Amino acid sequence: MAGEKKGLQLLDFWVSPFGQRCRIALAEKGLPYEYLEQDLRNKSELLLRANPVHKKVPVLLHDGRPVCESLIILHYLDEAFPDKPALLPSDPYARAQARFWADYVDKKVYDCGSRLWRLKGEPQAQARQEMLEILRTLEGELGDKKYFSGEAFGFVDVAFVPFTAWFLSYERFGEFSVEEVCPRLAAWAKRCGERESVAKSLHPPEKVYEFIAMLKKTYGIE
Amino acid sequence: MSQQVPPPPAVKLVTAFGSPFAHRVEVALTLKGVPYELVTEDLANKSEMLLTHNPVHKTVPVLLHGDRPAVCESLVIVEYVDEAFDGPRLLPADPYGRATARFWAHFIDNKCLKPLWLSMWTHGEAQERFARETKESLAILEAQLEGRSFFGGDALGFVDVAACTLAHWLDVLEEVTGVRLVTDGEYPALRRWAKEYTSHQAVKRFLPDRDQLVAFFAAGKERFTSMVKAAVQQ
Repeated sequence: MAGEKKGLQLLDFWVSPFGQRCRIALAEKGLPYEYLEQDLRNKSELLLRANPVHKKVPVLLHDGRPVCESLIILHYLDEAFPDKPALLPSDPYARAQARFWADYVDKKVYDCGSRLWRLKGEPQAQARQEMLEILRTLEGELGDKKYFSGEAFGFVDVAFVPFTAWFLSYERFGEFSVEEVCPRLAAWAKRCGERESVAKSLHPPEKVYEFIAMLKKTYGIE
Repeated sequence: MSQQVPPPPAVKLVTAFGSPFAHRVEVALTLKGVPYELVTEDLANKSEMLLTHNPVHKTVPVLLHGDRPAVCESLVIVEYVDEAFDGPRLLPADPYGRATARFWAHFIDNKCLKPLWLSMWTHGEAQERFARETKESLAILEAQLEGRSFFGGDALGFVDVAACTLAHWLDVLEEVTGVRLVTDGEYPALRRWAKEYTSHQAVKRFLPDRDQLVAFFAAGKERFTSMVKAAVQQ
């Protein structure tokens, strides 16, 4: 066992969109948990024992047993607490579609966003083009629906919504406006932001921008 | 006079020769006892059908089940097959076991197969870096196996299917490129597992012929090298 405590604990880092997915899921399900902020530059014994393979957050501890990787944590919460509202639909085909789109967010958004603020010149312009394509693709998938899952806030919404706090930063580095390029996505972001679970878990976009500025300084990027 | 023609299988799998990802789905369908029709793509010359069914990633495997739009991404498809059809479980029943299986499948995809592929088609410092990362991951998988026949325990399961590339494709790639990741005597548990996996009755028939596979990768050297170069430059 990695930890000793009973119940749920979340090893996390304040600005991590992956950690925020878990915070939002726990709040949506009304599951109490202990939040344990981690220092990623000086990793704790607990984190290294709980996630020896990746040494990353988020990690969910359930009665001391670790579950790693945010989307896996979301699945686990659905399956271990079946009496709580589920994030994934019950139909296998709808579940497959939800997994596909959450996987798409995982494969594309964070990496492309990082290239947007890390790089300059032609590679940055390429990242900008890619980000626009990613956002347009997601906007296409959302369509006219209230949420990605339909009427109810669900798996793909939870997977993507933390990145809405990064929109401002993408806009500034990429010189575009999400509202202009993807109005439905912008409206969806606002709608999600009105949910208590999201409002309580996300940090203000300006704070995310400051965090990136700090990272750039640390890595000596102009 | 009319002949009774049996209805075509409800499930169609779009595949391409040599794809370990499509192989994962074939094994999953077979373990569940699901009849299916195979449609083979040439990924160097993609059909309208493929691009329509998988506009996002434009690749195989793609699963078509009845009238429903496509299911894409091999591990998503395997989970779908597990949930949509009766038959032996590919993922365990208990939530923690499922989380563990998903973790290792994900690890194999991201930390093993990705750098493995990159190490085969790059050179110099980049190649060394990818090779090192792959070997570190293989060592972790080796430790995970310790004493068991399969990653899933006694029976072949989700993680074993996810790891198929390591059982049949790895030494083919090593032969074609000359990049040796596994030296003599290394990773004994993994090599034992590879033998178990490739001789399993649900797997054997879906392993592409080794000589054909060697020819396939040898013919694609230039193409794979330039694709990897573009990806690594980002």
